[in-house]
Amino acid sequence: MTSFMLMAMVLLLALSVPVAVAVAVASIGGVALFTQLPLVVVAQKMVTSIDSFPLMAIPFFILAGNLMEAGGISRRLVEFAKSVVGGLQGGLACSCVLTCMIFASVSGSSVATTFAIGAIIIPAMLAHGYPRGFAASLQATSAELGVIIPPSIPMILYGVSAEVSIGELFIAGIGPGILIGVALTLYVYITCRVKGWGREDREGKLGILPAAKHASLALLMPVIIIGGIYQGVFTPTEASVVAVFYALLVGMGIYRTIGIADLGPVLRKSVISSAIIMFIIAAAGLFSFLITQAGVPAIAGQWISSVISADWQFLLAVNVFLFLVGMFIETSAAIIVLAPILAPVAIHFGVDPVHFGLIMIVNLAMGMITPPFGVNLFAACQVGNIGLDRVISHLVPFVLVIVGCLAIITYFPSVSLFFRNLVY
Amino acid sequence: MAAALSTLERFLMRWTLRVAMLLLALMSCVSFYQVVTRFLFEQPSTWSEVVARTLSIWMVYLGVAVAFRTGALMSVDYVIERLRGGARALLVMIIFGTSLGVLLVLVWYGIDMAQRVQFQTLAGVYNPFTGLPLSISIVYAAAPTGAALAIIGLLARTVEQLRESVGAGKVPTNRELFEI
Repeated sequence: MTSFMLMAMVLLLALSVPVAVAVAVASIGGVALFTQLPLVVVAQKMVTSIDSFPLMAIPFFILAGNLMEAGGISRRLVEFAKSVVGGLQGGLACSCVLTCMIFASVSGSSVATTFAIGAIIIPAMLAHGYPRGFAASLQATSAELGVIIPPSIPMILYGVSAEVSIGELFIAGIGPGILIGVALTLYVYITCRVKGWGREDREGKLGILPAAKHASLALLMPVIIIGGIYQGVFTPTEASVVAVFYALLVGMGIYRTIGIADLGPVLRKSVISSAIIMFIIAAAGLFSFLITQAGVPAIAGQWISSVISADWQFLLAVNVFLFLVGMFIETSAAIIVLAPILAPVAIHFGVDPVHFGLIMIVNLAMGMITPPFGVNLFAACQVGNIGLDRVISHLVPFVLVIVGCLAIITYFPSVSLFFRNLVY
Repeated sequence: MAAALSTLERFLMRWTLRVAMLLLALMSCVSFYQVVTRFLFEQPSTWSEVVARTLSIWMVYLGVAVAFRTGALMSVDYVIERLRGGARALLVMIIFGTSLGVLLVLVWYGIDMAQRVQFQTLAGVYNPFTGLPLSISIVYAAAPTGAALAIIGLLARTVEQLRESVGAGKVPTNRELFEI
């Protein structure tokens, strides 16, 4: 049954069938052909999989991100990042990474990060003479930090499906997020030096203090969200609701950049984005229920432990496997289907489930920039107005940087677990 | 006739979207109310979590209908973007067929499911007007309702795509739908 379901899903995905439909068709086929279950289980699971308080953080973080974008918070963050690293050669490119890091700490989605920051920074980079493909690849890659630095939608999904504390995952994301941010900045800085790009990036840069003051309310937001979860004051869902109302207060009450009329487009965008993700979650929830029913996690676990003996081999194999999966399958679907299978095996090999969650998320986040199915890449190409084929040559080194960081995150658990152990 | 159908379809989709937007706003307020009661009054409300979850399920399924209408669902577009003419039309029909199948299952068995749980009640929530318990059917009805609306959206979208792929010129997606 499992192989039928997997093959049906991959075939349908290849035929450009929407992800949620492909997963649902494979599951419905599985129920009808291989089980005694009545089909009503389909309707039941596709409602109960999204009937969860932790998952409600997803629409809220999407809404909060869109409110911040509408309120001009992303522009203020770009100004702030420029004031910090803009003085270097290639400073504009470096500030793209830094802005994404800050924005990521209030947004849980990397596509939202691509649109919010890319719309401002890609045109600026083009005006300063950076190649279009470089700007788009940089934006797509930096925006990955959106799901690695907390809050993060994939972490919520991993936490729910592998039964791991979402708060712990959030805290564990800080280390890897900083590592990737620093590695990207270094790569960008060296490339700009070598190629001679971005010599005039200094122009129009504000001083650090005025820029920090200008962006202070935006910079306070991650403090409230992460701090609240960190201190155990909020659950992630509560933090996401607070983020929505904080963004609303700042945008409407203080900056006065959002009027009542602007709420319509914000709500509309948020409804569509949330519905798309949650529908995939509903279908993937059904899929994962069926394979768990069929005992696949236990069988897969036994098989893996009979083939592989050491934890380092397991981690290597998992990383290669996830990299391939990430190229073709959408991140949330991959996490919901694979986390319940792989997390118990990881625990069997003595890998901390929180650390394993970070490996999965960083690896699958890379899938967002690798063709043929990379949502970040699509978004960045759309913002940068460039075809996918012209981006690839600029993209490869960025992917290699992330692969390097992934290796460090995989084999040095303390990168992820240091902050977690500090708190929990 | 076609014009009348198209007007009706747009009207339906526009209102589906508006209701979904309202539900998102409502669920934000209800959840915020819950945070406030928990932190400020230290007396968490009993009804807000169930209500917010129910609103979110309705918001999602109504939003899904609009996503089918506008073709916003995520997919791996690599193959379809490289096809033209008849082959593209064939693929559009495959996508239509599989989507329709899933939506029909959701409508048919969703109604079945909603009927089965008719006499189970939601914990902690009562009808504000009569004070009587509410049926869980309210939650489960979201899937068949949204799926039925999605079928309408899917039909409209497929007609547009087919006209486009047989070369009737670029048919613009209803942008004004997005503009509510």
